[in-house]
Amino acid sequence: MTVIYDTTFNWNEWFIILTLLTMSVMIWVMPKIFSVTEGIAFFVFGVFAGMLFDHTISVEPWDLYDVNDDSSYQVMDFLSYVMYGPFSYFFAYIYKRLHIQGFFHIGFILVWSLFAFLLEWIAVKIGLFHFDKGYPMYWSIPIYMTTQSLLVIYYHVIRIQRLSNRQSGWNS
Amino acid sequence: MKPLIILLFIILLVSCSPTTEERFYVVVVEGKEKIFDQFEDLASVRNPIIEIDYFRKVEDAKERLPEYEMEQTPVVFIFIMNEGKELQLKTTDIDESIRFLNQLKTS
Repeated sequence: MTVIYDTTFNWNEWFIILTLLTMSVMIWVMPKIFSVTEGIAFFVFGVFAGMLFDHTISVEPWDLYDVNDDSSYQVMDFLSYVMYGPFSYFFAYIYKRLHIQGFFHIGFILVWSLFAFLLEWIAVKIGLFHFDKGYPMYWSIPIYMTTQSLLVIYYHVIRIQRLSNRQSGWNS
Repeated sequence: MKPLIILLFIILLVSCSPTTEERFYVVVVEGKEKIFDQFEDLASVRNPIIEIDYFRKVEDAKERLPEYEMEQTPVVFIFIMNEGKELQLKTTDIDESIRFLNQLKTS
């Protein structure tokens, strides 16, 4: 069954396009602190995480929510997953810039989870997500916290890899 | 070897040719009442194939079916798809439409 929420080009589409454009320009303009490979790796992490969760809990058998104008998979849905890329990039970027260590990890992940929750709330209001099928929004909080914790681990795995490459004299 | 290739080719042709299965197309217009759950299990990829488009807004449904009046909601349209679509049932009685679709599935 296809649920059609909306058929016009309106706020949800503009939100995706403007967010993607603005944040891509910001990635371009901001001083580069990662190598190209690392930057791509952090960007792709966000796209992967968004797709993983949406294609797990928003499809059968759970089918807890829908994305964008209708329940079928559209080009805008794909772009909405690409939109997660800059967020994971800037998560790693700010994490590195602030030299987060020890207990500050908890605060950093909490602040980012709240920020993500706020963005999700806006996305629901403008029709990017449709939770009519019974998805309680607070379920997203542990998902954000887990994903961001994994991103921190991913960051350190990449860092260790970079250091060991440097020690063995192999530069990427 | 050659007869096997011909046999495989025939199987391919048969499997790609249009089926004679009955196909029903359903348009549900929600209006103010949320009736989504009641139709969720009625769509079917088996015979008869039942495709359901569930519209949240009357304006969007009118774009899909401009030739039909939707003065009252919720409203359900059930079509049988032959060469064009032929209206089988238009009703504002949700239970009636669900009974009709269940009958289709069991017949």
